[in-house]
Amino acid sequence: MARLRTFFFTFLLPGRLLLAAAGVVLAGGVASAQSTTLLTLDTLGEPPLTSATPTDSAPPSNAWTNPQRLAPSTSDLRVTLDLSTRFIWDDARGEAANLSSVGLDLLHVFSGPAGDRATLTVQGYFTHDDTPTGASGTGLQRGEIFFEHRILNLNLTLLSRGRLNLRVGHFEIPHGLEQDLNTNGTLRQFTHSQNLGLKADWGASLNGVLHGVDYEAALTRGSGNEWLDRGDPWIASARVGVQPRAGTTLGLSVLSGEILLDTATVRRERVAVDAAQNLGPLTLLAEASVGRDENRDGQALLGELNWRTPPEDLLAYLQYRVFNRTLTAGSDPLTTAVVGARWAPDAHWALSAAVEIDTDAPAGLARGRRLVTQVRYRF
Amino acid sequence: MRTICLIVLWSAAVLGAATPAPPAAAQAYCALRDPVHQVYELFPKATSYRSIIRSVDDTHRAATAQRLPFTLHFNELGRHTLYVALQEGRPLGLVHVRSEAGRWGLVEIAWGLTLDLQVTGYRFQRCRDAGRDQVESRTITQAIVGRRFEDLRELLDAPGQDLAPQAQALALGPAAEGRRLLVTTLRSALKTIAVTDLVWAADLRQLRMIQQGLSAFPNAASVELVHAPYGHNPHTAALKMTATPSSGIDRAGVTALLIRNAAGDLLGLRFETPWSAGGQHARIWWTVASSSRALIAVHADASVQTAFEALRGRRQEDFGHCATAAELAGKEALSLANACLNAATLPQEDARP
Repeated sequence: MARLRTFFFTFLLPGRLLLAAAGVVLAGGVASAQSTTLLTLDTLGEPPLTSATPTDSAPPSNAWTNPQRLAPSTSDLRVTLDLSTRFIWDDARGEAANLSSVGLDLLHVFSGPAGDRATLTVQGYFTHDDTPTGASGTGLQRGEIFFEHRILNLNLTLLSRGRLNLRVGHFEIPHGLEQDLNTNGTLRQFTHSQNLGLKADWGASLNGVLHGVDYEAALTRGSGNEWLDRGDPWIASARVGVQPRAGTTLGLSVLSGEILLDTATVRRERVAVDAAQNLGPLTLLAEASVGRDENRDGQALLGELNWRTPPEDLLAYLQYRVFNRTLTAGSDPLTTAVVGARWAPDAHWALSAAVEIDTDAPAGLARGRRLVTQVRYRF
Repeated sequence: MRTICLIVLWSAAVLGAATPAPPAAAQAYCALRDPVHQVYELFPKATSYRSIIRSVDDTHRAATAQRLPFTLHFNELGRHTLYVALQEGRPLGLVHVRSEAGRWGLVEIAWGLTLDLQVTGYRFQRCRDAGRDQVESRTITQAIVGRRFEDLRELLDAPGQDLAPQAQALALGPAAEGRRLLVTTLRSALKTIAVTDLVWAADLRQLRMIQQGLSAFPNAASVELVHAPYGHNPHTAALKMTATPSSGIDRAGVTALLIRNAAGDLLGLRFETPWSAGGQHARIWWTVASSSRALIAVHADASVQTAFEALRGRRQEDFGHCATAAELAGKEALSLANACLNAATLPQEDARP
């Protein structure tokens, strides 16, 4: 029950208050006379107009004529229930594990007469994490069910032409390939978790498009999915991305901060470049990151070659990842080769599988071999 | 607690899998990106845009199949966004991004459209095909821009799988890649227009009214739709009895808009009337200034434009004996305009039925 209360107060209630407050601020379009309807862009999506009906009946009653309307129309809402279960066989440990989630994926665009004003993105999940590493640092026992905010943020338009927006809430750290190619909830992952120590964080960012350059600069808590004060963590991060020609994207990212890991904060700095190049049905992805963890050097490399069918229902990929995890003992990096595939036969199902083989590991750590499968259903 | 949650989780999964599900998005919503670059490239004067999210479902898929020899793939169903490009709050046009299977993956094209669904431009948001440069060439762009659904349909053969004979000149030389991508692009354009027309019909109707109203007067700031202009308003209801029945105006189809400036002052009335007389059918758009009560603009379908254009500048008292069908319609139009303007300028209490 305590978790349900936590869920209500931390997720549902703020979401409702946010919607209501936004409705008060953003709603508009009040009729000025009984026999007419004020037409504005923020009344789009209300009941269809019947104004030209040549009858002597009363004027149509709709939201425009109701100045008490507080909440914006829900017709611009996207909401999906997202179910997934992941099975992991760790050959090195000889152990099976699973990770299951059920959650809500919601997106709402608040609009007004001047255009879009804000976008609310909410992804909240109940997760049953029965993996050996999943509970570490969370204070939970293995196999416990917990609620996690994957994404919960409001992106407010500040300047016209998409030049400046302010994002507030819980969002992905703007860094590397992840900024353009979102991997939330998928088996296919890039470097965020292992290189940075977290994927999403609480805070605020300025973002937008200036002269064809996408940018996002963020200041965040540094504690990941939960807002924690332990050790007073923080992260400043930024990425700029360009598309110099068709099929090619380039990005430059920087990050600096005190990141809260399991028990203590770690001073971490990174500079990363990322690139994507389409070659017919193939795509080459690369990300190289250098920096420091406390007083030691840290590096991360990722290369991926992927192939997809014309309707893109099938994606296959080869990945090679190198993490020089200086916080662990030994000088050898952790290198992992991944072969994976994702099949999405329709708009609901996504079936994924990947084999991950550690080809090298720091001294004292066993090389892992894992088979991971995932079934995901969205409706 | 854990057991309960697991039961709920798996019950939902089983129920979800066993129940016919509405359109969904296979992609997490945090991965969605607005076509910001494309909106401002296609409408350089735009200062912002307004998203309209609607569901594309099986009924739209079936309706598209009736208009085209091909239709939407099931993966194309779900919630989709239409972007309205705005200049200081005034609608300029539409941007709609749709995906089509290409040779090397999905081809995502951002289509720029007028509110009447005429192509104003296009940008490839994602395209791996080698023929992209050809399809973006000036020759092909000029052949596509400005076309409506029917004009674009003529460029494809009957099954919609290849170029029609009259469009063969667009296929540049031996480059098969370009030809294939051009066909994909034309199919995308047709599907985009068809789906926009089907799914966003009510929004487009309102957007057109806003655009028409705001463009009628230079300093227009707001547009009000007059409910039942021949109906419950005492000033206009009388028209129903007194206006000549042979004006040719189809009163059931009249759309009247009151236009005001930023201060709320009434500038005038813009209204659209279906009209038919002597075997001719047309739509007439009338603009009447509140101050002079004169017809300051009359637009009609091309076939009758000259006859109606001649009415510009007239007031109600200028219509004594009507010699032409256009004058008969003009007389009723100005009567209606005056009644609506009178009602709008009176205190609200007096305007109530």
